[in-house]
Amino acid sequence: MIKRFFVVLMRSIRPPADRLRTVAVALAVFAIMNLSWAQGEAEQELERRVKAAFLYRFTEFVTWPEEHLPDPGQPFVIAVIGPDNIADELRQVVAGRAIHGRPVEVRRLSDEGGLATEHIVFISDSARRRLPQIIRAAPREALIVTESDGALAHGSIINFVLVDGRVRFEIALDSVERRGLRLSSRLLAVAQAVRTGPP
Amino acid sequence: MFEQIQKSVRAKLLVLMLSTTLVALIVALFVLAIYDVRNYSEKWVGDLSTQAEILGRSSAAAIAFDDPQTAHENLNLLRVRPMILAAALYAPTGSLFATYTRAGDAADVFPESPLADGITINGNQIVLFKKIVESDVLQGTVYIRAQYELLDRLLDYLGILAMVMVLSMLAALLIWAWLQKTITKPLKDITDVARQVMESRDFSLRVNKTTDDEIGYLVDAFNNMLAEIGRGADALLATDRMKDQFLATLAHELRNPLAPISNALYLLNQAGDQPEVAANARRIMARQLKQLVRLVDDLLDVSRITTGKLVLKKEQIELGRVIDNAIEIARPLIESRAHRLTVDIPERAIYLNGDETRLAQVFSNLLNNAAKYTEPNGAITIAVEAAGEDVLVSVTDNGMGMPSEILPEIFEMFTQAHISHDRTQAGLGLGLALALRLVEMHGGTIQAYSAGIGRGSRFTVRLPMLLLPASTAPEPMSGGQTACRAQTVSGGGQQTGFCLEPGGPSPR
Ligand SMILES: Nc1ncnc2c1ncn2[C@@H]1O[C@H](COP(=O)(O)OP(=O)(O)O)[C@@H](O)[C@H]1O
Ligand SMILES: [Mg+2]
Repeated sequence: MIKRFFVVLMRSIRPPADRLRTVAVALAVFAIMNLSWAQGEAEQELERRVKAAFLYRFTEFVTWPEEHLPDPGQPFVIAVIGPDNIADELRQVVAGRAIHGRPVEVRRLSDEGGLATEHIVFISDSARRRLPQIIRAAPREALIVTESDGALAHGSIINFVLVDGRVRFEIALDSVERRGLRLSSRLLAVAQAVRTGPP
Repeated sequence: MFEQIQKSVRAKLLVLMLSTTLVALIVALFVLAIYDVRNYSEKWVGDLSTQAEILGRSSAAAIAFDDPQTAHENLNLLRVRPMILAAALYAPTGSLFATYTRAGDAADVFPESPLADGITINGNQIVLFKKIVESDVLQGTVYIRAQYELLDRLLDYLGILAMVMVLSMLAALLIWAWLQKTITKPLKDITDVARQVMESRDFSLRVNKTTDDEIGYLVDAFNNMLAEIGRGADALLATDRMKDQFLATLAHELRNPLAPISNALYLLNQAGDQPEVAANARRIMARQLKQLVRLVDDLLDVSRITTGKLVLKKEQIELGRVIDNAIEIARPLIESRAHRLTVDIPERAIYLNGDETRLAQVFSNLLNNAAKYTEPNGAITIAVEAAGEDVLVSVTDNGMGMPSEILPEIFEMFTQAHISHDRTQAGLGLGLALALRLVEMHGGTIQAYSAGIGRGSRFTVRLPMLLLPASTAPEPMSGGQTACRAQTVSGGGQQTGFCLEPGGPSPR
């Protein structure tokens, strides 16, 4: 009941269509910009935005074990390890939205030190060096999302890649199973590549 | 045309068969068509909705993660459904995300933005929009345009209707031809024969029986009725002929005595002083008058009997006296033809309950017949014998006899076995009929026997006896008249009779 009320409240504050339109416009702009093959500051910002939007959309296609989800009313936590700007971007995306019926909280961390009960851990490319440690330190049922080449080998579940200037992602199914999560086959269908085990 | 149908069973049957077949077909196909069209429309719409739902759900991720490639692949799966002409996916923003056109078709023009959810039927095309909503969030919209072949199906149905109609009409015609052979043809035969019978009055015509069903039965019944009517008509004709003959005979019989009477009258007028001539004339007149009276009496009796007005005066009578009376009546004829009469009566008196005059009439008729149908100088016997509780009186002669085939009819009115017989002697054919009725009224029977023409005849009357207690029985020998139990009367008045009485024979 409370949850429901919460959802309705959030909606009334900011209708979803508006935000979705924002995302779509962003996508379109991003696609056009990519044609230039220039990796300027503007392009990087767009890429950040798309990744933030994807991060949020992933939750629709991932199922966490019910016992691992926070109690109703408690926030669904997304940890962002890396620069501030991507966390800010993500905060904008999730503002007023719920994930699996819970309010969303975005926590920025500089390293694995503060990891505790997160459900998604996004590790920015800037933390590439400490990637294995961070992944090992992450909670067992956390969805690990990275943006570094070869990250899947270290235990990442979803790794963003750039294909023809578009943001795509690859998925490691073996890691998904290890962490006790379930991914929708529809997500697998749009993945750039699906890894089922160590090569 | 209508009148012709009205008059012919065959035409009616044909109309009946064709119209029932037609109505049944039209109704059946109409119902089938309605059912099918409804079914088709419901099914197709449901099918398309499901298709859209599946397409939408499987493409939600592709839209979410901006992957038109996957969306295309999803849409391309529709090629296994050639009825679907075009399809498209719209992003939640309303922009066209991916499209599909059936292979071989020119690229389609797609609506720029999705319309509200729902189905639009446009001629022979159906357009469907369906929003993809997952956990209350709009993921995109599916657009499908497909063929909607309702009209084609209806046309197909019409084609089938026409074909089935032609075929079943042919079948109906075949069945009609067959029916016509087994039902209407025999009916027509009956009608034809009936018409012929009505026109020609020929009751010997018969209908040919060809079937063993109800119509066959009808044919049999019709033939039987024809036979019955034929017999009735024959019998009527025969009776008619008998009546004509009777009238001729009657006229003749009534005319017969008149000539002698007028001759006698003439003689009487001319007699003058010749008393013997006058006496002879009077005798002739008397005899002929008596003959006339007898004729008229017979006629009267017959009419009394047929109208049921003849009443018997029944009392206790003695058979001997009755027979004496009868002999007395017949004696003139017997004597005139010089017959020898033998009377054979048992000694014991026999009593009856009956009408003496009427019974005497019975026996005198028999005796008269014997005298009449025997050549002169014949022998006639009247005999009485007891047979249990009955008494048998038989009159036998050695005269002309009768052909055996006429014996069963001899007691019917107007029947005469000897048509060519000397008409002066002929009667009206009433005597035996009267005798039979009178005997029957006495509870008895009468039978005729003859060995054939020229071999004599015998008539036997059987009457119930009256069994009296001994004391009340009158003395049989009291009267002198019946003393002689057997006697012979000869034409010449010669007395050759004898009595079997204890007192010895006494001449009579
Ligand atoms: N004793 C008989 N012998 C031969 N034929 C007889 C004798 N009695 C009757 N018949 C036949 O029977 C017919 C019917 O007799 P009946 O009824 O007395 O009529 P009818 O004497 O007026 O002709 C006679 O015409 C005759 O042909
Ligand atoms: Mg007679």
